[in-house]
Amino acid sequence: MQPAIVVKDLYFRYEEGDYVLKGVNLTVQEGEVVALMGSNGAGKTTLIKHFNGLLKPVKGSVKVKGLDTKERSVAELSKIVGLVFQNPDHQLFAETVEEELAFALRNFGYPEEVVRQRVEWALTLMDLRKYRSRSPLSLSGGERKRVAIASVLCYDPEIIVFDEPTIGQDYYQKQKIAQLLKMLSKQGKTVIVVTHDVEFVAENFNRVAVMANGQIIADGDVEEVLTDPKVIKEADLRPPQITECAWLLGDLGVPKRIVRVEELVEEVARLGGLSEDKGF
Amino acid sequence: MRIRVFEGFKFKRKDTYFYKLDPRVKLLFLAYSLFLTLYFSTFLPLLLLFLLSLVLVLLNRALKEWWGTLRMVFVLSAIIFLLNFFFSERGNKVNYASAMTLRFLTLTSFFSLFFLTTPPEELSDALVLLGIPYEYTFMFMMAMRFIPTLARDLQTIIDAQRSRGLELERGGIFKRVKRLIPLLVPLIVLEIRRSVVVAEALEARAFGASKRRTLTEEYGLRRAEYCFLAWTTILTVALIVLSRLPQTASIFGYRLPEIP
Amino acid sequence: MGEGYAVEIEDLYFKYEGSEEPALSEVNLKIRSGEYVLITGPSGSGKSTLCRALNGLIPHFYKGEMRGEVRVFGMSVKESPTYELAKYVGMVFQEPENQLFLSNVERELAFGLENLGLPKDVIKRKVKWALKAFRLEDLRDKAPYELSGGQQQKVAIASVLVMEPKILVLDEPTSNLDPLSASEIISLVHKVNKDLGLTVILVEHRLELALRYADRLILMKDGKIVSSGDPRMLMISGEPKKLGVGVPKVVEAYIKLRRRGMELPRVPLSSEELAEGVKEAIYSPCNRL
Repeated sequence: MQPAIVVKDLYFRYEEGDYVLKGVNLTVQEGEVVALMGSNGAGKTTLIKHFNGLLKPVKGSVKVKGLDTKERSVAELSKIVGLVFQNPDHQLFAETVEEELAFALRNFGYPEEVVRQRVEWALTLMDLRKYRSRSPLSLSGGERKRVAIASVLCYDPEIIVFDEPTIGQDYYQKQKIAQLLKMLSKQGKTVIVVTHDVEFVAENFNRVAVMANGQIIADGDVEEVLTDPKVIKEADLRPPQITECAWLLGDLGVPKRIVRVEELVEEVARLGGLSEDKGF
Repeated sequence: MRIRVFEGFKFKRKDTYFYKLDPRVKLLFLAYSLFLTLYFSTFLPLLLLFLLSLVLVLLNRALKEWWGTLRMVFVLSAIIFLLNFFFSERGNKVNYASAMTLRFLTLTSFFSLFFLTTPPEELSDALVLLGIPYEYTFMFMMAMRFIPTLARDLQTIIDAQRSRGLELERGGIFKRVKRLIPLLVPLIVLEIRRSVVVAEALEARAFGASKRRTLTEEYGLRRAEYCFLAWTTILTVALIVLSRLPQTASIFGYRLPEIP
Repeated sequence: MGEGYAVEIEDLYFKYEGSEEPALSEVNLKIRSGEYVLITGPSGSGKSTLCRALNGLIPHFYKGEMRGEVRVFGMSVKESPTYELAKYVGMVFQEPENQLFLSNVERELAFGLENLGLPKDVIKRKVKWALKAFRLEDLRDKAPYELSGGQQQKVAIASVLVMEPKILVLDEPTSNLDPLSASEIISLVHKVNKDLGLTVILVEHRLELALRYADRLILMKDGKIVSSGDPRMLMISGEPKKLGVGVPKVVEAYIKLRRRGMELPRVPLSSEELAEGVKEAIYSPCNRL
C-alpha cells in the first residue's frame, strides 16, 4: 500500500523572495492523523499548499497517492486532498448553504443526483439542516466555519488538511472539532492538522511533526516530541502545561515525558503514596 | 497563480532618493509627468517618457516591484493596442496605437514610481499641507494603506476557491467572467467586514476628536528639493515650448514607418 | 485615583438593530480602579458587546436599543462621544492588521495623539516615552509588514496606551498569535496593570494564559453575567463545565489529585503553581487523608 503523501527534499520559494522551505521530508500513511506545528513563518501553510498543487516544488518532489503534484492541476489534486482554510470568509459566496456545499461537487463534474445526495449528507453531518436555505454570509462565525468544513467534506476527499481550525474557537467548538477529527479517522481518512494549539495537540493526537526554519525538525510521538526542550525552543513553541509542570517536578523523580493530566496525576500519586481514586 | 499586479503600488521602505523627497515635491513631479504624458500623442516623446520612468525606477531600486505590475498589465496594453489600431481614424495606425499603448504604460509607470516611494500618510499630509481637508485625504490614505491587505486576501480567496475545484484558466470569455463571482463576493464581504473593525479601531484612537488635528511630521523643503523642483519645472516647460516651435516640432512628431 | 469605581454598569440591556434577541441583558457590574478583570464565556455570550459598551462604540457606533446605565469614572457613556471616552478607555482588538494605519511604528504611536490635537512637543515627548516603556526603540522605523504578529499587537497596545487611558480593554488580543507572542502580550498587560495601575478588562478563551494575573473572573452566557468572583474558586466550581468553558489542565490535575486524597494548598493557575503545590503537599504529611 502506498503512502498517502510523500514529500521528498522539498525546496520552495516565491519568485520574489528567499527559500521558505529548505529540504522538507515527510511521509504520511493512509489513515494517519498528524498534527503539524511550528512558529509563524516556519513554512507550515506553504507546505500544505503543496499537497493540492497550489504551489509546485522548486526542487524536490511531492507525491499524493503516488501522483506527482508537478504534473497535476490543482483541480485534479483537490479531488483527493481537501484543504480547509483558516478563515471561512475566504470561501463563502453562494446564495444558500446548499449551493455553497454543492460548489465543489459541481466543479468536479459530479451528476446532479450525486450532488444532491452528498449535500444532504454533509448538511446532516455538520448539523446545518436548519440553515440549508439561508445565505452562508448571514450566519454566525461558528456556523460559517461549519459550512466551510461541510463544503470540503461534502465531496469526500481521501485526505483532509485543516489549517488552524481551532483559532478563535471556544471550548465547546474545539471539542466538536476534536470529535470530527476522530470520526474522520474512523472512516479511514488521512488527516493533517496545522495548528499552534499545543494543548489541543497533546489531547487529541498521537503523531506530531514540528517545523522550524523551513524544515521538519521533529516527527514522532506526541509524548516524545512535545516534551523535548530543544524542539520546543527551536520551534518557538510552549510545552503543554502538564509537561512544564512535570519538568518542574523533575527533582522529585517525575519523568519528563508526560503530556496528559492522568499520567501526571499517577506519578504524583505514586510519589505521595496515595490510594486509588476515592471519588471525592 | 499569483497576483502580482498590486506590487508596483505597495509602499516599501527603502533608502533611495525618491523615498527621501518631500511628498509635495513628488506630487508635483507626478503632476508634471502625467501632464507631459497626456500632452504628447506621438511615439518618440512617449517612448522617451517611458524610458525616463524606467530609469527613475532603476535608480530607486524598485525594479522588481515595478515589473510585477507592468508585466501584469501587458494583456491590458495589448487590448489597448488592438482597439486603437482597429478603431482609430488616423492615418498611421501602427504609430498611433503604439503611442497610445505607450501612454498607458507610462502613466502606470509614473504612478507606480510615486506609490512605491511614498507612504500613504505622506500623501495625506502633502494634500493637507496643500489645503485639502483631512477627511478627504484620510480616505486616500486608508485606501492606499489597505491595497496590500486586499491583494493578500484576494490571493487567499483564489487559493481557497481553486482548492474547491474552481478552474480559472479554462473556458470561454463568458464562463471566465462567471467564475469571478466566487472570487469577488468573498472579497467584497471580507473587506466590508474589515472596514467595520478598522472603523472601531479608529474610534478607539479618538479619530475626529479635534477639528485642528496636529501634524507632527516636519515637512520643510531643503535646498536640494528646491533645485529638483526648479529643474523639473524648467524641463517640462522647455519640452512643451520645443514641441511648438516650428524648428523643433518635427522631432516630436516622429512617426513609425507605415504599414504598406 | 485608587478610590472609586472605574466602571459602573447598572441593569444594562442592549439589542443590536435588526436583531431578535438582545446581546446583553440584566448586566450589573462594578469594577474598581486598578482591578484586573478577565471575562470569558462561549461564543456569542456577549463578551465583545460588553467591551464595546465601555468606550462608547455602543451606543454611538452600533445602533440599537439600549437601556440601563454605563458609567466610566463617573462619565455616562450614553452622553459622551466616543472620541471623548477614548481618552479614558483604551481598546485593543483581535487582529493587529486592522489596528495599524501608518507606515512606521513611530508615526503609529503619534496617531492617536495627533487626533486629539495635542501640541507637537507634547506628542514627541509621549511617543518617546512609549518607545522606551514598551521597548520599541529598535522598531521605530519599521513598517507593520516588517513586524511579527506579536510585535504588531504590541505596537497596537502601545499606540493605545500612549494616549494614557485609565482603563485598558482587550477583546481576544491573542487569538491570532502564536503561543510565545500570546504569552508576551499577556505579560505586557499584567505589567501595565501592576506598574501603571491601569484597570484591565481582558476577554479571552484561552484561560491558561491570563488566569493567574486576574483579580476577578467573570463568566458570561447568552448575554448575561452568570458568575463573577475569585478565579481559583470559580475554576473548581461546577460553573465552567455547565457553560462549556474550558478549564486549564493544571486545574484538572488539582481536582483529580484531590479526589485521590492529595489536597494542594490552593488551586493552581499555572504550571509553576501546580508544581509548587505538589511539592508542598508531598512534604507535609498532614495534608494527606
